[in-house]
Amino acid sequence: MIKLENVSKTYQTDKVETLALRDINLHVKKGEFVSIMGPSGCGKSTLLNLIGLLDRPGKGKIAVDGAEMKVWRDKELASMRNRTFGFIFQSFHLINDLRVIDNVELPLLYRSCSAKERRRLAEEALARVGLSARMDHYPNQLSGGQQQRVAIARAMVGRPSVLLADEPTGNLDSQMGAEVMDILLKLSHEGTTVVMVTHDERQAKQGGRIVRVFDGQLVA
Amino acid sequence: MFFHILKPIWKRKFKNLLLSLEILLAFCVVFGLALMSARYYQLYHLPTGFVLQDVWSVRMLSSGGSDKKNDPIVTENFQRSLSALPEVEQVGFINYSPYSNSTWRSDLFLPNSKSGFEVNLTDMADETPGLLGMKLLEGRWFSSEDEGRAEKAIVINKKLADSMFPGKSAVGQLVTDNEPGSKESKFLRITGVFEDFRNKGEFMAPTNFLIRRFSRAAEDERMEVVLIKVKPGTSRAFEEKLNQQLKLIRSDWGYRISPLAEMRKSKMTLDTVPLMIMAVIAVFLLIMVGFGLFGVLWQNTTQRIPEIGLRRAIGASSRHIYQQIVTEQLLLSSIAMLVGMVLLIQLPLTGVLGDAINWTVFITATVISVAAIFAISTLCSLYPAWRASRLSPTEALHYE
Amino acid sequence: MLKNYFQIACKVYMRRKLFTAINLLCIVLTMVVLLVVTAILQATFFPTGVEGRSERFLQIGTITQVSKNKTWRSPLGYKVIDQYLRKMKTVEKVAAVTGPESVSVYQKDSVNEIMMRRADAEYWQILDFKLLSGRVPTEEDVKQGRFVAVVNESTAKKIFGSAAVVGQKINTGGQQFEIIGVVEDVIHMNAFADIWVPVTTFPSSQYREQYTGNFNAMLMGKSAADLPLIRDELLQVVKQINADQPTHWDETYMWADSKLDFFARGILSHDKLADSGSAQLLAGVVFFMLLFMLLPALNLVNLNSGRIMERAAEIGVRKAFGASNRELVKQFVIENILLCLFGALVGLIFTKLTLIWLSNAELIPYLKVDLSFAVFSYGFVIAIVFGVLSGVIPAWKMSRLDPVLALKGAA
Repeated sequence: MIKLENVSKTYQTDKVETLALRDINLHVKKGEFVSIMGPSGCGKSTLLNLIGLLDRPGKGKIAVDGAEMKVWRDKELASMRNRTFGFIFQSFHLINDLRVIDNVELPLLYRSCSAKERRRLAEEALARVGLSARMDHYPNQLSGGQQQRVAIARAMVGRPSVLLADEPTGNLDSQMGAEVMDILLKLSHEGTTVVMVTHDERQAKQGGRIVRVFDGQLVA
Repeated sequence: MFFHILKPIWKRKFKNLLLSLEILLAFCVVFGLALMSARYYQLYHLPTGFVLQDVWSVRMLSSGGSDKKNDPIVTENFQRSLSALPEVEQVGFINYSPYSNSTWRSDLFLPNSKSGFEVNLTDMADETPGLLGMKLLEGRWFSSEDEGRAEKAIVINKKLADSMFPGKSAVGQLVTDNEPGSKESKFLRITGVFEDFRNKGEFMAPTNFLIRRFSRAAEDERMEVVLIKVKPGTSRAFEEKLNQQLKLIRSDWGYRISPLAEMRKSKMTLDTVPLMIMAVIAVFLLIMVGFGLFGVLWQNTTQRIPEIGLRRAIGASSRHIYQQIVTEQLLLSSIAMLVGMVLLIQLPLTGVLGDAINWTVFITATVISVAAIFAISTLCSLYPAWRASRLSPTEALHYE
Repeated sequence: MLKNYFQIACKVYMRRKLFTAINLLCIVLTMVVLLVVTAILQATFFPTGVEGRSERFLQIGTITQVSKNKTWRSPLGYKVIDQYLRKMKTVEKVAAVTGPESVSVYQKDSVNEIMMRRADAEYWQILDFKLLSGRVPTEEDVKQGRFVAVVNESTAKKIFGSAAVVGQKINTGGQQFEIIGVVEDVIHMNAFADIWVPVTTFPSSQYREQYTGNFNAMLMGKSAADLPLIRDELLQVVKQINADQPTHWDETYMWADSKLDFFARGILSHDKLADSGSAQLLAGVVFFMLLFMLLPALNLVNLNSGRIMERAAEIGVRKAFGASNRELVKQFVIENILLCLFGALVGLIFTKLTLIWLSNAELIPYLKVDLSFAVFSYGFVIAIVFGVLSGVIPAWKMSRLDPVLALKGAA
């Protein structure tokens, strides 16, 4: 599904160059549940961002669904992010000014979709995470776990092939964390490819495949 | 200390660029207004060269524009009967009244010279310069002794005398208003030099001025206006009596009587209209800029609260913070104004707007606009700076 | 989609009320100045009321005569109007009126200066004065040369103390008139005056023989469609006038213009060209409006740029879910336009107040400008232009935010 070949990424700040990732070769197959683990600052999140095309590698090739990313133009990137990927963040990143249903609809705004269709898909997605009752509430009226579930609904509403989760349970207590993991596993069983960054060894084992990163490189 | 403040400004140069551009534009607007006002002020205080107190203008209109030539008998009649009225002190003919909307221009040449001097001109009878209280500097006014001579008598103002005859006396010189190389060669003899005659009012830019002698006895062009000096205290009601008297002489003509003081008032109102419009626009823009600066500075200080907290934590006092913010803003404004001055100084240097932008006016305008922009910058940074300096270090460092 | 933008715009603006207020103030001030100017220009070029038939009539104010390098410009003489223009086939009515002249009125021992016009009977038929009492001069009055006068309300009050002056006598310029009617105060190109008397009351009848004088002419067609025909016929008439004139001139020019063309021709001095330069005049107006908008737009740009970091997280999220840069630019520009439209609405209210104040302040006598539908539409357009002008740069900056940094920074 997603293939990274000899990918490297460096960050430039003023006169200092930091090598975040070095010679990454990674192949994520369709339907896999991959957990990326490693100590803080090792480049896990950077790797996730690269996989999700949120960032661009300094060196190397990235191929999505067989097609190599040769042209990194904004329009193509936006289209791919919209159709292929769905993101879930550690701090949820819901837009507090909008209601829950509007937050879930967000990805659909960027594809040609009628308002009625958008509403229908959003309600469906909310139902799948069990939050239909909270449609008209605002994010700050919800608990942490509920907010993350809304974020998952948002990520899934457009039926992307790949879900990318950056420490999804990092800000949640163990019970809410477990709920969120259940949803992710369910989605994985339904065929969605899931790539997750996590600190939690147990959660990673639930997924199946574990990829370890240390000092910017993959380790066995 | 200076460089400590200069550096962060340079770091955020793009953000500051637009802000400086705005200050620059505002500076230019204020400068334009100040320049205009200073020039108007300067012009206002130049001598007009004549006295309008108790002088009335009577415009004699023949119906349909006929009667273009002077009828000596009619003119003499007017002169005598008007002077005979008890309320009238002096009577003098002129071709168009001061403070009217007419302007006559021509070119004057030295004999056997190709270079012309652009002059404003008017025709006056012998009595008129005295009636208007004009100031003679050299020579004499034209009078009846110039009657019948080949060269027509003229008087010119000091500005023209100095440029046409530098270092010499202009009195007695001959000039001509015929184009060089034309077949006609009628000469004009200068009998005297007067101070000035700014007949379009206090806001008229100084020009070269030439006054030609009008002879009541000759059959040249008719003078449309007669100026009358009335006794001080004569009320406006005299106008009706005056009109009747005029009608006695030529009942088919129309007479428009108006004290020069009133004509001056309307002319001045008209002249100050552009200044008023510019002032209104400038005030609008400055209010906007003021509020905008206030908003941006508020934003900037809010965003820098963690930085401020840090500075406070390492020992900067409230006063330091306050000073720093205000000084930064003043420095930014100074840079913008410096760029502005570099652009604006081209105006007097290249002389593109002529005499209107002389150095006095320019410097006055500069001082006023710089002061204005500094004032606005300081004012707008006061409140945000005060707010920022009041935060305790811990509050600032934990600012959300 | 628009609804979404509207929703988020409202929320964002209400979040920081102080800045929104400052932004709004800036927009309202700009809009008020621009709208007042627009309203005045609209009333000047496309009037309603007294000159309401302007789309149906043209005016001629100047006859220009050229010989070698001498040019003589002057208003028309009565002969041109009476002997040539009245005989044109494409016109329904022709009116002759002098320009306003200042005359003194003597009443007992007070003197007043008022503006007088001498007009024919057709003048009252082409223009649409509001008669407050009495009547206007008829063709009989003019033919007989009767000394009748119409005054406006302010003049009646100024000279007689009340507006009920029909039947009173008034002395001006050595002539005595009887007032037969009182009309409402107006100021416009052909209508502005304090007192109107018939053209036949000139002290001497020399005006009839003149090619140049003090007159303006108004040529009215049956409908707006006739106007091009009138202009074409006029070209022939002008040739005839040139040929008939006793003093020889190489060229004679006379142009029948709509209000807009009339002003353009005067301002740009297009005396010898058929094209009045109205397009250039309008372009000039637009240019100055844009110039005026520059500083306020820059102000808004600076204010909005400061708020970029506030919305970093939102921008990051949108980008992560597939918003292209162009989408984001569109969103932010539309948000800005919405604020500008709101500012325009508020501005319209203040414009109306300003126009009322202008009418009462009497800076320009009898000025009465009102908001019309056309002004509303211009306001709408100006708001959008202003919104784009002031929104594009901050929008572009916002859209270029790197999503990774945006999300990290806000975390």
